[in-house]
Amino acid sequence: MAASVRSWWSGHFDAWLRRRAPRRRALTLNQRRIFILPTRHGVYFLLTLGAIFVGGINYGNSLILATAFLLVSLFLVSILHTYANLAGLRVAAGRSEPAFAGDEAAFELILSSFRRRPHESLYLHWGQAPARVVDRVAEAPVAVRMLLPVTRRGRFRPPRLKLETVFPLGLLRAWSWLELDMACLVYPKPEACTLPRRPDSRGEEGEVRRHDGSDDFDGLRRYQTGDNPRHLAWKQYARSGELHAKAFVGHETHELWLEWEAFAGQGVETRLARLCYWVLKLSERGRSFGLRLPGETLAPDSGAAHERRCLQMLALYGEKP
Amino acid sequence: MSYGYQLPRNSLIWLLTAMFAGMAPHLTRLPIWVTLVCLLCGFWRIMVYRERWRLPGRLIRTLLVFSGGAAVVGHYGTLAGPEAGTALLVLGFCFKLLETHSRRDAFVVVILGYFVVATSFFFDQDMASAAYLLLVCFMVTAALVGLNQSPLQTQPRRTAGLALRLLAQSLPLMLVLFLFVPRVGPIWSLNLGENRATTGISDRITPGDIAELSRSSALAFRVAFDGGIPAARNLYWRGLTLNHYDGATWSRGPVDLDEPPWLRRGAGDWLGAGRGQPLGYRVMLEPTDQRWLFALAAARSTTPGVGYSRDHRLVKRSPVSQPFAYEVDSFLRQPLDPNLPDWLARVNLQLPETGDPRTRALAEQLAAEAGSPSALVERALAWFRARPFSYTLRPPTLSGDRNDQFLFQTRRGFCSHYAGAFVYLMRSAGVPARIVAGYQGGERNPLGNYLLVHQFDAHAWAEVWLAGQGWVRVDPTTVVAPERVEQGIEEALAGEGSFLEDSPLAPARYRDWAWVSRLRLGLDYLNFAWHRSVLGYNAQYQSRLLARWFGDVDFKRLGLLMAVSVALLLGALAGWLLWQGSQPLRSPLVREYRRLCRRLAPRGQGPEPGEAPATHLLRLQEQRPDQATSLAAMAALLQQQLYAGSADPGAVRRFRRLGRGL
Repeated sequence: MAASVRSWWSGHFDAWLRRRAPRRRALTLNQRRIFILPTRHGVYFLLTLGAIFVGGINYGNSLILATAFLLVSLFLVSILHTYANLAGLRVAAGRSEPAFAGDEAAFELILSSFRRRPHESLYLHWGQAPARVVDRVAEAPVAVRMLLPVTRRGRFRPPRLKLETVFPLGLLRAWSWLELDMACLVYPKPEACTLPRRPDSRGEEGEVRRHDGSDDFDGLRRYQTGDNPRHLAWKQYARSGELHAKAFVGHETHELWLEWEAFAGQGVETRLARLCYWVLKLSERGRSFGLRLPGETLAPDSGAAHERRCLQMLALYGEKP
Repeated sequence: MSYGYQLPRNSLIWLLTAMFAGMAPHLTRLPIWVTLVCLLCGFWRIMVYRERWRLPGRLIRTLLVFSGGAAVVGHYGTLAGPEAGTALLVLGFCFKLLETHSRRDAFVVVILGYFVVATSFFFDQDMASAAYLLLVCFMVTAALVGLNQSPLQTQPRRTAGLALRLLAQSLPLMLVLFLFVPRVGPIWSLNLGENRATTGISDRITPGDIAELSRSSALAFRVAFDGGIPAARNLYWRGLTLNHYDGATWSRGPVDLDEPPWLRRGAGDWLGAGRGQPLGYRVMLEPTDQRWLFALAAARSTTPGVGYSRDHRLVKRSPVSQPFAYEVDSFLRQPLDPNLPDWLARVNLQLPETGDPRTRALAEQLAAEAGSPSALVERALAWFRARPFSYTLRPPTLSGDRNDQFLFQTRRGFCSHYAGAFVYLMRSAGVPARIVAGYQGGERNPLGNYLLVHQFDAHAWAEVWLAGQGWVRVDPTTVVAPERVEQGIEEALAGEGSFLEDSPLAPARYRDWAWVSRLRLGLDYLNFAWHRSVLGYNAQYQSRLLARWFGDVDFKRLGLLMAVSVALLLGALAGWLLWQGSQPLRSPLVREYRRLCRRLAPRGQGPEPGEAPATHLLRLQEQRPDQATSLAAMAALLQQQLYAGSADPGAVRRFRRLGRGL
């Protein structure tokens, strides 16, 4: 019962918050977004000054009363300061990096300020990431990298970011919920396995020599932009002044395909996890391979870009575009 | 919080500073072992911070707390009351420092720090103490700021700057609250300790013992009159009546005239209706730890907590343990007790069964000669006048039949000798009489037109009950030394040189030196203003002051006034804070350039839309060939500032000077 009420409430709260503050790439904190309430310390502080006030009244002591008034004023003034420590802060979405499920995805936030006085002691709470303290954000943008644990394959949208501060006296907490328009890809968690052979495998005789492998040295060719610097022929360069790249050949039995159907009889996620493992494995070896998923096909290729495309296809399999 | 948490250095530094500064004023009042414990705890905490020692374990801490509590009980006999309470607070403050692992612990120390500041005001309320405690308040606030700064901040000076700014912004608000928050009476009555050393008049007079009181230059009270200050001979500040004589000492006697039902306001017709014009004034009394208050005869007071005793004095409900201000209306012509009840007459005719035979004989002889009580008073005074009596603060000591010795042998004494002997004579002759102890006269401060009454103005005189007139004041000292009343005690002792002879540095001794006197009175005026406007800011003073500013005020208007002024102040502060926030950050040189543009724009020499500052200035060279070189120099300065980012402090001045020709 309580749980359902809570979920009902949090659903409404989320909807309300989203209406109030829609997702954006960058935003500036203002009174629409900043909430402020006393902390527990603030409540104790108020109780203390209440006791001092009663003491002042009872003993008819003007100076004790004045102390109580000074503390009240300090509390009131610190409301403004705590609020001003968030107001005017600009938060922008920075780069995000993809991750494998079970790892942590890195998100970058860029904080900056329009204000002359720096924002001090800001706490960032973001999902399950450990809280971060950012100090003295002034005009110059400060990039904050936060690692959010991701568990599920697919497109990951980070939860609301909570930015809070209790500066300067710790008596009040000002906070803001930010929904930044950020996302990253979460690849399936690789799962080691043997690569099942297709029954129509043609064996060794169908071997073709393909360029761009990395197994055996095949000769020199003229340098092209994008060649791996490790394969540059520096000796020849020193001799002739012309830049050449060493060409290697890879031996391949046939055009290698990673097939959805090869993992028949296994669950969707298991298949994706195993495919992911082989995408990584083959790319590491520099092999050329194609990827075939139901309804989608990537032609055989090799290199980092191909690997990324494959991983993306695996990550987004079954998700609406 | 884990044990690994170290308090931020900033916070710890200010916590320790605040702790020692906050406890310093208490140390003279507290036993020496408390000081030693404090020092030890502070040292221990510093060693922990330097990672030499470890914080004490639970066992040691428990042991410390219990032995501390036991030691306080052992020393004071109680855990309650301001003294023992302060000792406990100070000890708790220290012990808490030894278990400050987490931010919450440190916060508790901060809260205790504010408490220590507040409790200090029980003991010291002068201006210097208030300023000092404000400083301590600042240190505690700095500790609190340090606690909430990021641990990366390690400059204690920056922390202090922040705390200072916060406090400075709070002070105007505090002032508004101080002025407008309605003052109400005590919710429940509390007594501060009464066993503190007291100064002031005593409720026992033993003529023949050594005079002590007249030699202190400490202040007893200040009086601000609504109108002019009456003549010195009318200023008899009644404090106590002494009704009982045991052969050596005059005391208040077994019948307590202060207790209810008389204390209750309007509880009897003995008070009488005020007759004639009241003399209105406000007394700011220094702490006496006694309940009696000082006023001119037939006094009425509307101050809460003040009542009347059966002998027409003002009495406070609880002892005056801190400066206390009260308003009085005195009806100088109103007779006291026109009809004396028999029981009261008996109280004021009491004498020991035997003793002082010569004095008793003299009383009978004088009574027989006079015939009526009022004539007897005259004859007695005439008797004093005709004998070689003298006024001195160094009378010979008396013993045995003290009145006989004084009247017939030594004939040297001060007010209590004369008052005591006179009342003895009257009572022996069957006329009700009593000694009144209090102060006489006072020093006028021309700066604030108020009266200063010092301890050396203490005086004792007699009151005699005469049918039809009630209690009549008789001061036998005036017969012997009229200048004592007319000009004060200093004149009365001019020949003897015993005025304040024990305190060679008391400024009051140097009244003849004009500048010392002016300085002393000026300083006292400051104190007077402090007492009147700050310490004595009670409900009556508040309503009178606010009525003068805003007309009639009731609670509703007061609340409204307070809300409006608090809102205005906070609004102004918020505006300032956020305006400062929205100001785009520009270098002073760019601001200087903008100013120049505003000056040039009306002449059509302003920048084109989208034109860079340097391009603009270089373009102007064609229009103003006479200024070409300075324009080029200005452009160079701007370029350097904007793109090289160099902060040349002289650049702004140079730019302004170059731009003057345009």
